[in-house]
Amino acid sequence: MIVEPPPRGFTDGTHITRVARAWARAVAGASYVPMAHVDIELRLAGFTTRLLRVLTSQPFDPSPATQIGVELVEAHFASPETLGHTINVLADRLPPLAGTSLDSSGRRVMRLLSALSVGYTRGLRERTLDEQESIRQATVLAQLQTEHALRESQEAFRHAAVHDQLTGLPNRIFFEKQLADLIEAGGAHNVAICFIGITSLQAITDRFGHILGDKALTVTADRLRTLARSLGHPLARFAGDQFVMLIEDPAGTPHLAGVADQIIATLSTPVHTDRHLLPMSASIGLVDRPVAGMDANDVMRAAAMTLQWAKADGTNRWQLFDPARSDREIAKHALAADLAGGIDRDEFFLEYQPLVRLEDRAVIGVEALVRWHHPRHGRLNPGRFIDLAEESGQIVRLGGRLLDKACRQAREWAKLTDSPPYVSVNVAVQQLRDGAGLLRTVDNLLQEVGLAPELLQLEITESASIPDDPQLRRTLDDIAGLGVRLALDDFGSGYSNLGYLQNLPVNQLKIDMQFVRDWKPSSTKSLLPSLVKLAHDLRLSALAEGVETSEQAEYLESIGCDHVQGYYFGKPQAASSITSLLLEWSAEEI
Amino acid sequence: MDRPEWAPPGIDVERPSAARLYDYFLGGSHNFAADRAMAQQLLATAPDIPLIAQANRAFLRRAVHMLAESGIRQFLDIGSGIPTLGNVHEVARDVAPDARVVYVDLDPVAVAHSAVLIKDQEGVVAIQGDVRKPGDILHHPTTRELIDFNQPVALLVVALLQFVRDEDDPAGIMAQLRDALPSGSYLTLSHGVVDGWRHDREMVKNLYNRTTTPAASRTRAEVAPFFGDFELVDPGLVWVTQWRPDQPSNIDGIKAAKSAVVAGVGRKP
Ligand SMILES: C[S@@+](CC[C@H](N)C(=O)[O-])C[C@H]1O[C@@H](n2cnc3c(N)ncnc32)[C@H](O)[C@@H]1O
Repeated sequence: MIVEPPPRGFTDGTHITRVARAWARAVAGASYVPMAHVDIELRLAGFTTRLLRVLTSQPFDPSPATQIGVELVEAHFASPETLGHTINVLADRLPPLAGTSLDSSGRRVMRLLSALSVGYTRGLRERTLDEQESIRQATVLAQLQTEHALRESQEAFRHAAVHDQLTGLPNRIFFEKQLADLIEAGGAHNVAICFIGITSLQAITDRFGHILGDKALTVTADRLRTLARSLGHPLARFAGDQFVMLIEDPAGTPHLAGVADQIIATLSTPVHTDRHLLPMSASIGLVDRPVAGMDANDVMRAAAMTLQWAKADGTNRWQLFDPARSDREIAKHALAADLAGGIDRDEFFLEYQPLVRLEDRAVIGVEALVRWHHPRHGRLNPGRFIDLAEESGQIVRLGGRLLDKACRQAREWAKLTDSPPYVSVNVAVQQLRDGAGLLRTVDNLLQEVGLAPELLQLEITESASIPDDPQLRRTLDDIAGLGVRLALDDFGSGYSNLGYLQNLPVNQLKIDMQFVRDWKPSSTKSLLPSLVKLAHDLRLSALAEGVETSEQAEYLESIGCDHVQGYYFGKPQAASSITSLLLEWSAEEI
Repeated sequence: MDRPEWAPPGIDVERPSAARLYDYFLGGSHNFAADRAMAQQLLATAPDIPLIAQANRAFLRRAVHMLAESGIRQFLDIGSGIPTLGNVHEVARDVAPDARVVYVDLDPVAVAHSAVLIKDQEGVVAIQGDVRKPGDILHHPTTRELIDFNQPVALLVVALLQFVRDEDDPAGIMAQLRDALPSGSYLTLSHGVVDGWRHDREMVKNLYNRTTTPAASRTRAEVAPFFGDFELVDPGLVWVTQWRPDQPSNIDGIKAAKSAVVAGVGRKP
């Protein structure tokens, strides 16, 4: 083996540097190398030194150049162009550095560069495979993240759909689903709904505006949330100022009452915002029901109704659902709904109760009492529906119809006898308020039917004759002016200012039946004599209602009461019975 | 965008992306066939693109190095791209091992790559974000966790704004980003411009319009206002190769004016 002399200038740094710089220039731009230029040159100088050592190794072994090729790529001198330029530069520059010519060391240089190329391409291939692997992983990861983000945003979307924006609480949709799930699962035995109304909120919003209203609501929601968490019951914002708490298997009514008390105590603390101290109040409706066979809608309706009862009770109250009360109210509502149709279909009719003069026990008048022939419930007394008619405003229409019937009946009787009874018809406050309307109706009716005005009497209740209402007064005066009689009904049961009685155009005081009922033959403290005297002092006739026994009748007669009405003298009865009665008497008279 | 608000941009491997094209031009393999096909078309029109990309990347390296040396420890890199080579945290941590970096990119693959690369490295995170919604980036919990906006921050907006069109109000976006930084912070910005561009402008633009982020063409003069009242450090807003070039400078791959990218670093007074 030929032993070559050690390369000249092997340790000469400046030569190496010059080669490295030429190398750096040659590969510039062929690949991005994340290094400062000096570092690039240093790095390449290092490779140059090592390559020179391989080239001059004794015995010659090119294989370490393979590793240098790998490292070149690892140092990011990595592109096909870089390899090409590298081979060019090194083939030119290495032999002089080694102190030989390309010709003399040609074979060695070839073997060196070929080993370098092998390492280089191997490195490039490894790098590409690694990057492929990494992009595959990154893509999978990105896909997972995208899906995750999508899921999360869908989650958020879903969350937004079932949560209330303002308070962050589950909303009504969520709650209803929760209740439905609970019913379906059937795990719980009983479930209680605690329906909470923040009664102070409307006033706050009205007074301070929506921003403060919302603020109060948010604070309230936070308080409720904290309480609900500590109690372990789910909570939702049901609507506006209503929240609802779901209590699974409550430990009896006392437990529910305790929860309700706690909620009210928590919520009735004033809310402090900005410069305001806002007083807060809440009402609660509680419904406790077995889960089996439960209808979610039903329960919520019951809860809402119970909340209304609680509100009607006053501030900061709770109420427990009462099925009997609910039935009554439901029936009432149904009835109210039937009213208008009932009037259209003429389901209302009158019965007449005799008004008797004590002196000779003659029937001088009859009170017309309304009945409803309800298609399903049969015959209904006014106690069942008059309030409803007043609440719904139907009373004006109904009252008009009844007046019409009463007048026509009165006219029938007037044809029948020389001393016909007057017909006394109840008039509701709303009818009176419709002053001109009522006056016109009465006037037209009298004309149309041809009834003498004194055969019609209108009964107004004591409370209705509001003395301070000049409009009502005028209506009463006008009606009296037609010659129609007026009576004050249920006298003594209200709280009249007696003074105004002097000026009312009334003919008769009807003394409330409670006074007669309370009277005993032994009693010494009855107000009846005073009431009769009062009527007389005002030059009005006195009629006692609710007379059921002969003792009562005799007593009333003894104290000078003019007229009476009651079962003892006749129940309310069909017009035909009154007709027969009248016919009997007129026959007797003849 | 017509996508519903809650649908994140999906990964469409059929559609070229600026991030993956850039990676390809830097010699990376983090790209898909669709990217490479478009890269070939771009190269046919503008063979200098790889050199431009390298020059830009080299500017990023020099700027980050300078910032780390001048004491900056927090980097917010928006439009960070695929971590090809010489990433911000590597450059910065060379100087300051405690440097913290938040990478932000629109491209989910770029973000995923970054996540893989920086896995287990404390103080370096990658989030997906859109520079057109700067508030989302600034208030992202991860950003807030890593970056203290009471301390100087280096904001990097390198080769990004050419993908934000005027209708998206880049001026407003930049103002919002600058406003979020405390005094002593830096903005490092580079921008591809039409001046000095020797190749078919329309062709390149049309090609980029097929990517997920269509390009905007701006002139050098239109780039300067992005710095607002930040004071440009030496040598000002210059061709990307001219910004504090490495020595020796004769081994750059491209002549300054051909780079078609201007770059600068500004400091918030
Ligand atoms: C040319 S690369 C620049 C990468 C890196 N900043 C650099 O200069 O080396 C542009 C990057 O901006 C990203 N990008 C484009 N539009 C974006 C947007 N609206 N928000 C965030 N990143 C965006 C692309 O995904 C791509 O990774």
